[in-house]
Amino acid sequence: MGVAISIQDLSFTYAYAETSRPALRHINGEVEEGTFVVMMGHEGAGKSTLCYALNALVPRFFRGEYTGRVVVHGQEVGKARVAEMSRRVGLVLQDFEAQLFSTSVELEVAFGPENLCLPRDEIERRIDRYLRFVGLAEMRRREPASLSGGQKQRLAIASVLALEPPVLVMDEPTTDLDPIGREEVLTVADTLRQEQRTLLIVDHDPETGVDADQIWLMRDGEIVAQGPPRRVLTDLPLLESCGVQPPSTVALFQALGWPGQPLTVEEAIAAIQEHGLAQPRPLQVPTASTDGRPVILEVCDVDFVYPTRAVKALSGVNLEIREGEFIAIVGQNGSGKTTLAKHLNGLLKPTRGEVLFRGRPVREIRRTEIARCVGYVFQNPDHQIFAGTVREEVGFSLKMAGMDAKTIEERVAEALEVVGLSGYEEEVPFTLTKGERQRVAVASVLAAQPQVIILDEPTTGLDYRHQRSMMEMLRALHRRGHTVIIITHSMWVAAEYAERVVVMKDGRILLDGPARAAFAQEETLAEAALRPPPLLRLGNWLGTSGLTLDDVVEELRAR
Amino acid sequence: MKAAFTMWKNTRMIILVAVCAAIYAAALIAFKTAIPLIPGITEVRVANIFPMVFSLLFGPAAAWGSAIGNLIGDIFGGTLGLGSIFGFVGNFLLGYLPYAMWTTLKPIADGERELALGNWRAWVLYILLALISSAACGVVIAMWLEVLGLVPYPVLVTIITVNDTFGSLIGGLLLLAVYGVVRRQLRLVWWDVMEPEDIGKPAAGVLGAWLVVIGALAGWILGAYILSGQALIVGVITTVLILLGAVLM
Amino acid sequence: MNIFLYLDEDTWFHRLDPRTKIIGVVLLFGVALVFNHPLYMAGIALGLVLLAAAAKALPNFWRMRYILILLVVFSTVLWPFFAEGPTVLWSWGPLEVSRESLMYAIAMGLRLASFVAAGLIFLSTTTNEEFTHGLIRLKLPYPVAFAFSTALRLVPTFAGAGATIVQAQISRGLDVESGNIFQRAGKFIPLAVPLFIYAVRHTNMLAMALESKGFNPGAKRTWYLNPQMRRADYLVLALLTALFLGALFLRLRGYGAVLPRL
Repeated sequence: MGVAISIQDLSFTYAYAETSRPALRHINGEVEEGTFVVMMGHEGAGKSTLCYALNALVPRFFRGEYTGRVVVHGQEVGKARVAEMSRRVGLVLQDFEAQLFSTSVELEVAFGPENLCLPRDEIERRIDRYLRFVGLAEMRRREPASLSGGQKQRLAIASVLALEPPVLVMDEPTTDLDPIGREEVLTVADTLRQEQRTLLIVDHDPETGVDADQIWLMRDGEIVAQGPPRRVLTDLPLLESCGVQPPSTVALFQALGWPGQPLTVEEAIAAIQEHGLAQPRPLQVPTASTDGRPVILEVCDVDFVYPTRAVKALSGVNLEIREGEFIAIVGQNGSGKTTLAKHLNGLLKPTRGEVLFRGRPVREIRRTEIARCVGYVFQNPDHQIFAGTVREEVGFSLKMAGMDAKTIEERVAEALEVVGLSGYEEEVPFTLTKGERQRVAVASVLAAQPQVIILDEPTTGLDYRHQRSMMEMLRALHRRGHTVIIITHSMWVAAEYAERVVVMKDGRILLDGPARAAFAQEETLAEAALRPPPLLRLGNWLGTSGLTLDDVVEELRAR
Repeated sequence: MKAAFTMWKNTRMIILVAVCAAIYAAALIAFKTAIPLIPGITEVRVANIFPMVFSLLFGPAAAWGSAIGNLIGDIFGGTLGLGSIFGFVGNFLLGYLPYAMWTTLKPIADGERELALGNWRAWVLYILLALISSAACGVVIAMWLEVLGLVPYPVLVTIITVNDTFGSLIGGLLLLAVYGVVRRQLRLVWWDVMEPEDIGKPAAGVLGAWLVVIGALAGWILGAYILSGQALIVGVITTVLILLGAVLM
Repeated sequence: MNIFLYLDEDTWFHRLDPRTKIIGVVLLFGVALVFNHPLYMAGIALGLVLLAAAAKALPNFWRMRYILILLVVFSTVLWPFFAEGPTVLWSWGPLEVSRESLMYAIAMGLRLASFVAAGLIFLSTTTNEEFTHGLIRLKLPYPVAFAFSTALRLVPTFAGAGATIVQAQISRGLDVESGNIFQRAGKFIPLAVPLFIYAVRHTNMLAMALESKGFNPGAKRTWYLNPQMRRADYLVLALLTALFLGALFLRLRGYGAVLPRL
């Protein structure tokens, strides 16, 4: 087998960047044809820049100081134009919304081959082949805008594959997807591997890296480790220092001093059985009850139908939320999570049934008043940030409520302190990082001091480090007495932070209970196409009742 | 005017055309009935806060973007017709004139592309250009609809002028909020995106700019209030002046 | 949200080449432009409704009924004051209404409705990609056609983002429905700024995706869509041309006009 990619001492510094720090520093690497490389690292580690350096976006599209040499299938990238590289390297980006620009699915796939001046019947052949490849053959005539997230990302992959590049690079292709969408995309990646294509994927989830031929671990523009997953993914201090979530099975085994470095739950079970490390027991779920606390929000037999659609987005939903609870609502996109949450602050009005806030129908509460009772943080902070300073942004809802300048000042300072952004008052929100903008959005809702705070996907798009700090912040809020409700796709987030988990499917509540009990019901979760995080899958088999690594370790030590 | 044609060589400029068009069209559709002026007849086109902002940031991409965006607004609104032709031209001007006149309307303009938004002089120019570009857009569209016999000139020219001026003035707040981000963070202002040799120099910029000023104001005030009986002739002559001025810049 | 007007049916009208449909609609506009007599205009409007029925486009006429009616009413009410005719029915100072100007006004209302009707039939039977591709085949430069179709693709995305932004700001207490015109207009800033930044952030991503797929604005390329002009297309074009020339001939002979203007 030949060498597909060879990188020699590559360094790059963006022109016009906020800092003059190089984005890439002395990168070396070699990828054999037909192998699978997973790149991991914290936000800003240089993963995306490295992807762009493979198809000449760096240094052609992004200008800057470029030294070193990158060769892909015999072509030196630094000397080629992006359009020329498109025959050798396909690039799929994280944001599926921003890489589709055609008015129909088949034209999206036709676009690349058209640029290559291929004859019409060859284009036809490629559309057929690659739409079938990603499982979208039935959707040929659809509008790309009408597809689900997973379908859009698969379409983006097909549209790149249609150029038939020997190397495919995917920059966080699953970050913005729900679990089903993620599964769909990873299945496509798997098929590509079987076809012996060279594949580079950037991903945050250690589970993706398990099957890779090589893991490239990046930190601050450098590659700090390069090698097979079994070597790289077991070096926990190194992973932590790169802001990458370590595989919890490895972490568990290391903490207990057990032999072996299992990367998957299956390996872990095999190792435990082989060495007789612990005896599985039936799971005893502790019944921590919250029933004593007063009910703050009540959803009574609610149906909801969107005006433009025929199907019920919610049907017969009943839910009681008590003061001071920490609830995670989980389920696939389209299962009704967000629709349900938007009923809680009256953004949507039920078609049938009633939503009560402290016994009062939400539909009767005025807008400015409900903002002070139930705060709602939208998924994408960029959907609400508009002001020139953080101070103005965070104080917006207070100004709308007609408060005086002094009170606003105090409340803003308080909210910023809670989210850890004290001293940012005069910053321009747009120039902050994604994680910081997310915090500004949270602060702007907190400033109104709502008893209940709802967050839609608070950790999506953040790296592991920022996910942790966001969730720690919510935990602190919860300790201060707020009722916290999150909508999330991330199972470990739900497991580690929420007290109670509500699983939704097709507009109904499929499962509702204390977190540990909910994650014990693997079969019911599977109906919603969800799986507990690896630690709890292992815990379900072992019969441990802990939700975090430390709890499980302690429990197993005590046995 | 050269940049308005050479921009089609530049991928980012082409996409800016599409993005401007899509925002404008989306806003046209979304806010179609937000604030009725005369209920059932015309509304404040809230979407009109965008074209002038686009123009000063994205230059020629804004001209084509506003034109295409308005056309798409017609398509989705179901009002695609012969009137759409000059709707295209009028909205092109709305996106073209502000950036073209920003450097050429001397001595009010100082010739710098950079928007010195902290400076009162920049805002005097902004307000003036808001009025001129809106009136130019109004004259061109009203002239054509009068020719087609769809809507009387004097009514429409005033509605469009007032409406678009109002929109562009509100747009000033938008510009203030986004200029820094677009200029320094996204680096998408048109004179950064385009190659200097593609931008070119105006043929007779100052003359062109003043022709547009005369054409736009005369077309509106004479046509609507003083010579409304001869509205068609006034409309045609001033349209020619405006288009000639536009080409010279 | 479905904001597209295309109706997925299979009529002879749908099957026409997009070039035929574009030129055909322009010819229909021309026919509507020739006459200004209400009876003639009514005939044309009726013809368009029948055509719409044949093209199964009537559901869109129903969807657009308010706009259609408003256009007719608006035009009918306004024109009498601006067109002048010999038979004065009523006058007050400089304002006067004549029999001819009244009839002209009704004709203009019908003309406006006919334009919209022809446009609606076209949009109901032509997909976005056929429209774009028709324009390319009619020699519209590719980069322009590309920008047009990309904008069509982005409108629903931005409209969706806009809807989310409105909800996000409302749940922070923004009240868009109160205040006078100036106050209300000011309240659009918290909505316009996020939409603007969101959309413009797209630009760099899209440009990267495009270039990564080998896009080069000036370069030669091939096309997957390949519409063919068939016999039916030539027949339709010939018929419409004949209709237009016939109408022009009648008008030049003095038929179909109440006032000596367009």
